[in-house]
Amino acid sequence: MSEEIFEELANAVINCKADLSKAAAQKALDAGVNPVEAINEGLVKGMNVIGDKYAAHQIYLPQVLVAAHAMYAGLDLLLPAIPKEDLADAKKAATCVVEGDVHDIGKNIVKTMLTAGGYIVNDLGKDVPPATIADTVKNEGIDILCMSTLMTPTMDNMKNTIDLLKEQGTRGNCTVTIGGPPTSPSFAEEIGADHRDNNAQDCVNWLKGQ
Amino acid sequence: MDLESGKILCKAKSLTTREDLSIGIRGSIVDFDTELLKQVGVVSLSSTLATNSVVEGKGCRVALVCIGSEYDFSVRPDFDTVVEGGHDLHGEEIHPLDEDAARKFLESVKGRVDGVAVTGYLAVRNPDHEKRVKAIAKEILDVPVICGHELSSGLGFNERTATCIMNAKLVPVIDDLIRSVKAVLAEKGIHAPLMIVKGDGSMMGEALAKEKPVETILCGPAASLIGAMYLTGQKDAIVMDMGGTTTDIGILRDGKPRLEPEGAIIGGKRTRVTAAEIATSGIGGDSRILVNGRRIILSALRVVPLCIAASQWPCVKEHMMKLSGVQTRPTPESFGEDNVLLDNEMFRTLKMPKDESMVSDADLKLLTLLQERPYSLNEAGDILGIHPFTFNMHKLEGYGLVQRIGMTPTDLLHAEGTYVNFDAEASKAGVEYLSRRVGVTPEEFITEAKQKIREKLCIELMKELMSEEVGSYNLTPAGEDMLMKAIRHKPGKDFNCMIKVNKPIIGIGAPAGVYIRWVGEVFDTDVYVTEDSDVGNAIGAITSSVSESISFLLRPELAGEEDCEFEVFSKLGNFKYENLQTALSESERIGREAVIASVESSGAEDISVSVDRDDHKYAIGAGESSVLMEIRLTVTAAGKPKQFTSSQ
Repeated sequence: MSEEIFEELANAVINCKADLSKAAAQKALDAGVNPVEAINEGLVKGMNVIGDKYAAHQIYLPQVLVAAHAMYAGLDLLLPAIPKEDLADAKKAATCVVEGDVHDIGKNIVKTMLTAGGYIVNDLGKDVPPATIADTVKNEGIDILCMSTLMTPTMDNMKNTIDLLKEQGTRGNCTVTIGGPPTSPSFAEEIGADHRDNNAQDCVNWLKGQ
Repeated sequence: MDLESGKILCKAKSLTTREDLSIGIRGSIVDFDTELLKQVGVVSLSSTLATNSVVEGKGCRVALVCIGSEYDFSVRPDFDTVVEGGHDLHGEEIHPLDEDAARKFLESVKGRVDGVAVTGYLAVRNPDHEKRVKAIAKEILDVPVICGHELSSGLGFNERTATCIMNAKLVPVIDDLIRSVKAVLAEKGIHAPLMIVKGDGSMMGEALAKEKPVETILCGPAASLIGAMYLTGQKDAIVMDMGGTTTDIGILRDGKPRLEPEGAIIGGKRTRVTAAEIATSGIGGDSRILVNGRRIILSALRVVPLCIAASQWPCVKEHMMKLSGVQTRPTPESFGEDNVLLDNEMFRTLKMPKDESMVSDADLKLLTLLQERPYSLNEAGDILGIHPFTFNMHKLEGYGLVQRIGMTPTDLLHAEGTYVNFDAEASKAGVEYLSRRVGVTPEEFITEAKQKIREKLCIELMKELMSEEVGSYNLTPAGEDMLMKAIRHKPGKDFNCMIKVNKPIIGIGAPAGVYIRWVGEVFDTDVYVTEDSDVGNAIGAITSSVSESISFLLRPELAGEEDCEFEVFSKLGNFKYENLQTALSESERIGREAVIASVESSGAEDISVSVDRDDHKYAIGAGESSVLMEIRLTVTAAGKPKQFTSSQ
């Protein structure tokens, strides 16, 4: 029974059908399926297929975004149904595009994958100054910070943000990953980030392995 | 020591006398030849005295002014306040400094403090606010004032603040020490300048030491490393100092001790003090060797070696000699190593508990009995009529009330005759007894136990080297297998592993020589052994140089550009220059002036200045182009201490 629902959820995402995703999520709740399982075995599986297809150049970015939209339709129903105690040890993540840059598609996909991965995500949006990011990490006790940028001149703000975390004394409590085309693993190492994500899936997989 | 020939003319040692430091200092000088003392040209002091006062939380009363940020109170000041102010990463003011609030607070502590610490948020990028508060403090209070930026140019507000408070607390402590040393020197007619060793192994003049005492407190390891280098002539080496409780591993690179990159941890608190990075592992000449079930185990617990105890107490010797008559039968493994009851182990009471309710009645009876002389638990149990398992030895040892006597690596060497300095008979008896418990011959027991020590030392060394290289020491089963193959020199079915350490190892400590030589064999490298670590420390203290560095951080206004305005941050302030070339040459010029002035005031001569430029570039994406992010420029002046000559 639940296998069927999982497949419906996954297919809804793969076929970019928000209404089907919503319906399947409702069906899962009515059938008493564990919402965390429904997310992982259904929605995330579908999203992974989309991710793979995108990586293999089989589909275009807009399709990824519509698929993400479909996933959110299901998530909106399933997330609130997760029992509170299951969320107690969920980690807090923050996502942002650093100051000077407004390209947030990649960041939004990371946010989606993190949410699906069971993290409580605080999305700070785009063009976010280092001080704002650092203050959020400090004040909200963020465990994972994911920063993104598409352009070269704004990469420096990733370093500035990490420098602020060091000055504040919060760097040690927070895992920092970065992403975006101009970044590289060596850049991550140079500025003191923990990981450079190749893509959203890579980000979540790496975090889960930590 | 004759600094020109490098010959040690005379040496002496004496214990610290904490109630009055001058007694111990006088004690160490009194044995020197008075004729030689008259010719002394320079005196160098490497003292860990201040470390103890930090750990014990002693020192004077300190007021702390934080600018623009709360502090995490890892080290507590006596009075504190937070005032508005602070800068951003570019050194631009975020909030104006609230001078009135600072003034009000400083007025309120007048007459109640002996020192003031001032730290500002991001003051390493602009020290202006710290400097202004310092000026106000100087105006109101007649006590030493220290700012965060004067001690460190590294990021980390909490760490800088902790460093600053420790420094302020230490001022009177170091003052006291310097005064005691100078008084004794004056008595002996020595008028040579006094130098104090810093945590990075270089030295500074007494005036600077009084200003920045925190920099002197971890000088011990660095001085030992420099001493080891001097004694062996090896500038690039791994130094393994095997003491009683622990083995300390440090590294020399190009004649300099490897430094703690994040700043030293003092009394459990992370600071921004530069000090030699030393890894300490719980294996020493006095580590406990026990047999649990039939397994030989090497534990981190420090005990009194049998050979030493037997030469100290006749009853221990007597007891050990009777061990051959003790029946052994197979014993099941105990859950806790501390609970294993061995007849070769004895205990003695170090002190009675302050509060008798801390321990059980049986334990109290035991402590009273062990005050007279050491007993084994079986003996004590018989005398007291209490089953030996009733005693809580682990707890009593934890409280520091009893001391255990037992089998140690030092005993193994005594038993086999490679190193005999104490009572080898007791060690042999211990080995004989334990080997029967394992069910092997004494020779086999020694071989196996030594193998365990060798493996442990090798693992600890590789752990240290690999952690630095990789960033963590997280071995997968495959990694562990390869490491153990390399250490044991045991090939697998189809492959073999070897690890070659590419610098020599210097072993310090007398019984350690034997063990450290093995490590060299395992990793196919040369081993140099020096006998006396304490004199090594003193030699390091006198052969190092007076040195001072200042670092500049140069950042392009536009990330990645080289042809644009550059901002420069340093403890001297921050500056802007129209291009990279000017920024570099100006920083170097200002830096040179500052460091030369500093080492000159510390009494150095033959000063040379070196400039170290470290470019941080990053590659963009997968492409091959790279752009400049920042440049760290370090200007260092170093010289030899100017010597006093009687003609002066």
